[in-house]
Amino acid sequence: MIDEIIDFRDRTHKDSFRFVLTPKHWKALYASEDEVNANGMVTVTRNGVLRGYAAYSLVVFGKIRTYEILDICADAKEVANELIEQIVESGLRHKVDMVFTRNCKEAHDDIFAEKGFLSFVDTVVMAVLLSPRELLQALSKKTPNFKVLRLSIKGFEPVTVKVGKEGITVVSDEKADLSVWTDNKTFMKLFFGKTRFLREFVKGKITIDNVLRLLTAWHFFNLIKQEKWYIPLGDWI
Amino acid sequence: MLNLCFSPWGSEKEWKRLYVRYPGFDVTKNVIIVEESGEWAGGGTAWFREAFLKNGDQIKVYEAGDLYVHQNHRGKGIYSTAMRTLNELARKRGAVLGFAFPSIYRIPRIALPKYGFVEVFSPITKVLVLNPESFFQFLFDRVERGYLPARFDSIKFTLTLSFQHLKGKYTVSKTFEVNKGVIQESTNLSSMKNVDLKIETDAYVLLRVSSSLYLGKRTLLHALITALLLRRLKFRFSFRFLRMLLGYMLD
Repeated sequence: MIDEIIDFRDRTHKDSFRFVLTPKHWKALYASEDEVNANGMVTVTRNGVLRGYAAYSLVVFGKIRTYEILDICADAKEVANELIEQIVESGLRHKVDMVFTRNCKEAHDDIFAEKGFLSFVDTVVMAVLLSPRELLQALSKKTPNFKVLRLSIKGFEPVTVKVGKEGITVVSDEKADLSVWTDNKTFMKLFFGKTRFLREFVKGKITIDNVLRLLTAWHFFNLIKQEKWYIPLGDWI
Repeated sequence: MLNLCFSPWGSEKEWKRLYVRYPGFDVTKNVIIVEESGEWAGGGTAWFREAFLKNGDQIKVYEAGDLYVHQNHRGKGIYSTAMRTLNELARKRGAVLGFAFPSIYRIPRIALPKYGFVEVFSPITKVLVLNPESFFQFLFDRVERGYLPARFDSIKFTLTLSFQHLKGKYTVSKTFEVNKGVIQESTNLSSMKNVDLKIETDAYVLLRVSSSLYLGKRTLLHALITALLLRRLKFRFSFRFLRMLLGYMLD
């Protein structure tokens, strides 16, 4: 069943930046049982095919008993609806006071409001860049018809990349057509789509030596941008 | 040590789940200890994992967590040492990115940017209330867990909260005092008179406004104006409080 769940999650969120979930990770993060947390899982199958699952955990703070939904993944709104109903029914049976979830932005998000969930922000996901070369290397692929861009991120060695129409390739010892300077925070915000290239350029957070090549730099950041993300609560440490 | 610093952190079983049973975890390699004059002063932990990029390729990432400093060693740069060491350790072990998941109410959210961390995603927390009495307890606990800038010290405020549930409408009132930035429930009967601020609102607005307090002045102003226009927030305040608030907004 775990293999099926992992496969389903990978198919549903195949375009998203996400952590790799192995059966061992699932066991440690989602299916553990101890005196503090009692974990549960609900699934929806149609004609023997998995259509959705949700993993949740009972957390007791003093006198308050809550369910935390660690992950909820469904391929249709009515499936997500059924999963939530199953969790709420279990919560009522086990005298749970509240059901919590910390969602990534998802297709069936409005269902929570329809069910009477109140929404607010109380946590953030923060990231730090440790190795831009390795990161860009992982995004590399063959790029015909390219321009060479030299990217200098404050605090790191510059990285030279070929920027093609559909991808980038990390190279070394190539003469650059343009050089781009930025800082690690601006790079991270652009990488995860938290800000826009032009906005940061106007703010002076990005500098380019050849303004005529502005579109190449813009295209580069668009190519590496991770538009979607999926890091459900269960994956958080 | 974790329970002492986080009061509480959790049980031994919980520790084993995260520290021993986590795939590839090695206590001797993933956990760092910071000592000062031979004394155990603090530490932190790095959990390593692979992540998928949108093109399907994988990179190594790390999750930073359980950063703690013993109370006898606070203010001496122990947290900085631990955080910088964790980033360096992760980089040497091949991690390309690092992640952390701090609460907006806690210090790490303010501290982590010093070590290169930047907010990249804002997950939306959603709560379904099954038991309104416990929900009020949760909300009032949350108010007491918050902190306010020093300029609000010694103010007293009454919070009247309502919540519309399937079982009916619930309303509860409590008075709080701010002392050295910490919000505490006031048990002193005389202090319930002469309050500087009386707030009447519903649970949803409280959740929105309390979180926007930590998300910047613009977000706070937006949340307050929206709630006022929708008539879901009413407050009466003293001249003293108005002066403090204006000072804070204009700062």
